[in-house]
Amino acid sequence: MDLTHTQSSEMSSGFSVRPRTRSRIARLSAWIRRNPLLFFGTLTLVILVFCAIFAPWIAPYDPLGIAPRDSLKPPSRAHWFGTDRYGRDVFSRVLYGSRNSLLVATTAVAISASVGGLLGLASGYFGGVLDLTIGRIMDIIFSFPALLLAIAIAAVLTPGSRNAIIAIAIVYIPLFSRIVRGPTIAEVSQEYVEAARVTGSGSGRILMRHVAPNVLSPWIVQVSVALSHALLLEAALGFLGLGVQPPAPSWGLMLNEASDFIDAAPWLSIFPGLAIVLAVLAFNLVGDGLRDTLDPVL
Amino acid sequence: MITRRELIQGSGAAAGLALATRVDGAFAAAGTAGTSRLARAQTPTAGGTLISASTSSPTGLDPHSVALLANYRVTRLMYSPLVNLSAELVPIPALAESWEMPDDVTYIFHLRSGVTFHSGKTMTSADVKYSLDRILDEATGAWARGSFASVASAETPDDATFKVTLSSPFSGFIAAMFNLLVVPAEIADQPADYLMTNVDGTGPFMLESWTPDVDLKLVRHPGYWEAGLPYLDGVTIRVIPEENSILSALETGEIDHYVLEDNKSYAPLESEGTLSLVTIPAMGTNVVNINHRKEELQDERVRQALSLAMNRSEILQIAGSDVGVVSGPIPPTHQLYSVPVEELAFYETNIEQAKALLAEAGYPDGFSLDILYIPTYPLMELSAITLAAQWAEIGIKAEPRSTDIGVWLDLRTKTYDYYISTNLDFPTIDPDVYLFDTFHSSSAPAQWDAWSDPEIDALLEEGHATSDVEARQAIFAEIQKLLVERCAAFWTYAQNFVNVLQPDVMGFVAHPSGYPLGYDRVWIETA
Repeated sequence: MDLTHTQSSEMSSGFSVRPRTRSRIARLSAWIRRNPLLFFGTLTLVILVFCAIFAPWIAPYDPLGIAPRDSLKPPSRAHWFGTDRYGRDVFSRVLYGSRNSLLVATTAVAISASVGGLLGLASGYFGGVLDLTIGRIMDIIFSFPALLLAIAIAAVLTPGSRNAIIAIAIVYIPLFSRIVRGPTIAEVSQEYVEAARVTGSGSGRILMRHVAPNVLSPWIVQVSVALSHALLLEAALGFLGLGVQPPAPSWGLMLNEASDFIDAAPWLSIFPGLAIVLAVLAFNLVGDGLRDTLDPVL
Repeated sequence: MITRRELIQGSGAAAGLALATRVDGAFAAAGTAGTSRLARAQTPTAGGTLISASTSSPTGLDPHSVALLANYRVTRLMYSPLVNLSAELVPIPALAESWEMPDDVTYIFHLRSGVTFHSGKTMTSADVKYSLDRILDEATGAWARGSFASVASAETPDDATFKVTLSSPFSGFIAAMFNLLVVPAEIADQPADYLMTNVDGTGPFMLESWTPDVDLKLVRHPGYWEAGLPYLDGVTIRVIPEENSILSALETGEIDHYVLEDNKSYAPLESEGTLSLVTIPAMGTNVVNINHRKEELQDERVRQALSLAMNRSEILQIAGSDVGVVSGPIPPTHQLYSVPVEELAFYETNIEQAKALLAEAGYPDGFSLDILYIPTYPLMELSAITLAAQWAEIGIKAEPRSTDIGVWLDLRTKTYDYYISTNLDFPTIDPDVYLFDTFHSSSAPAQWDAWSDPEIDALLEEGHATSDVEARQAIFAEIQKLLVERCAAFWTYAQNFVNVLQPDVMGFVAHPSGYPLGYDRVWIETA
């Protein structure tokens, strides 16, 4: 009774004394209530990125340090996620793995988003032969299953994280090119573009200052979707030995190493697998949330 | 799919090292080493088909030219050699009933009478001579050609006598006869690749059908030279590329026999206890090659520091799943010639001494090097990653470098742009064959590694020409100690081969070559 009383009085007094703070929290909690998934996704992403950046300070062990006596130990207080065949700490490796996996995925998407975006803008704005040429090349890339193409490119370029980035980037260029081209065509026929042209703006200026901002929202949504796909692709390439090279950890590579011990040491596959699921889920949730916010039409 | 030591044997120049192969059964008298637990249970019953599995398929059935493990595994069932080796690696009679040495370069073999080929033809010394000539003919591309390099002439005084004269004494020659698999002289009239798909040997089993990458079916040879053998009606060797799938098939009873590629499954299989496990030490030690061209590695102290920083029992635990022994160049399987590891220099881990040696050589902060491995060979990858972690402790920045087999062979034998390479074991039946053909400066492997040491060369030549066992023991012990002290390469451990069998498979005797043979004395117990 007493407690309820104090609380309610404090609440009411707080409301009257600090209305702005109160309303900010209220707004935040209201926003969370309206977008619980977006909130969860963002939170997970923030945690993941935090882990990736601060892995050296968080990880209890050297991710490359071997200890054969501790080989294949199940999760315990000393090793939260157990140990692998070399006696390496799986928790530390998952943490460091997030660095490599996220780095490959984000770099690849950054490349394909900017290259694909520019190609789409140029394609939609200039039209004609350029549009046709870019369009057909994108069709060709698109006609291959993404994973298959990435495997082929990564295999030709010799395995390694740099080449995994290149492979993933190439695979996703058409996605961005197409998503930008359509809205660009629509924008180009708008009167404000005509007006800009009439006032003597060059093509570059019109594209970057006027058209690009207006086609940005589908592009942003696509970035977050592509990130989750790229992460999966990175894991697949790593699993096939075409991504980050051992002994460096990456989630896909860890799954590969775990595949021999799926019965004997399930923790080897569970934790990196969980990390992949969480990261992909987070990117997808954020992508959905962004789409709802930025592009209600979709 | 290529497996284990095909890598080395497939590289051609190491053909002389391929001596270690198998034995088809005549070693039953050789003791109980590696005998399956029910082997002496009862009298054999004839009949039944044994199903074994392999992760790789032979690419051809020619017993002389195809240098692949998968080929040795099957051709040894269909062809017999002149001389067999016991599980203790002692030469025992096969197609040659006995042999004599009038002087140290002449060998006279007395052939067994009444030996017939699968075609029904009786074997004579002409067939043996033809087989030797075929191996020596460069056009055949025989993997065992190096073993017979010292043959000056071969004669056939009569149908049952075969006489070989060597150009210089070669103490491992009798053992080399283990690789003289006899084919009929008549195939000379056939096209050169006739034996790739056709079989006519004197071994216990005859070819019924071969579907590459699927299976190979063999049936009993009724005219086999060992009376009453084999007990089995047939053998089927199925190709299943994934070891995990083979293990599942063993659990469901689809497969009767398999030799583990990766011994990580040994402990779980042992604790489960439903399948019979027969282990036998291998005939070679796993080795890590050093590219002696690299400036840093030319300094003996640097190599010794690397050796001291290694923890060989950790490598055995991780790469060998602790199923084996830490070993010098010649493993304990060769009881006569193996040197105990306590007597080998720089074998015991000593980080302080390693750092001191490195500083003395002018690298107090270490240096960078790469360690080659081929990812399809788990043992190489496991060793490379373990080595990198161990060498990091003395400040060496070692980077495991993944290469496919073609790139690996190029790097090792042509372009030489690497520091360290993991490798597998060189199974060998005789210390002379391995050490001379790998570390004498005239040998191809020594030239690949740019290894040359006049003192060791002289000792190797002495060992090559000495046939007295005690004298050989002293010479080969000295050679091994010098090779280890001067770090011609880094030897790590010798693994055990693990044969996994259904409990109803009887009479199986394992052989240190690791080849799943001795099938002519195996029978399947009927419930």
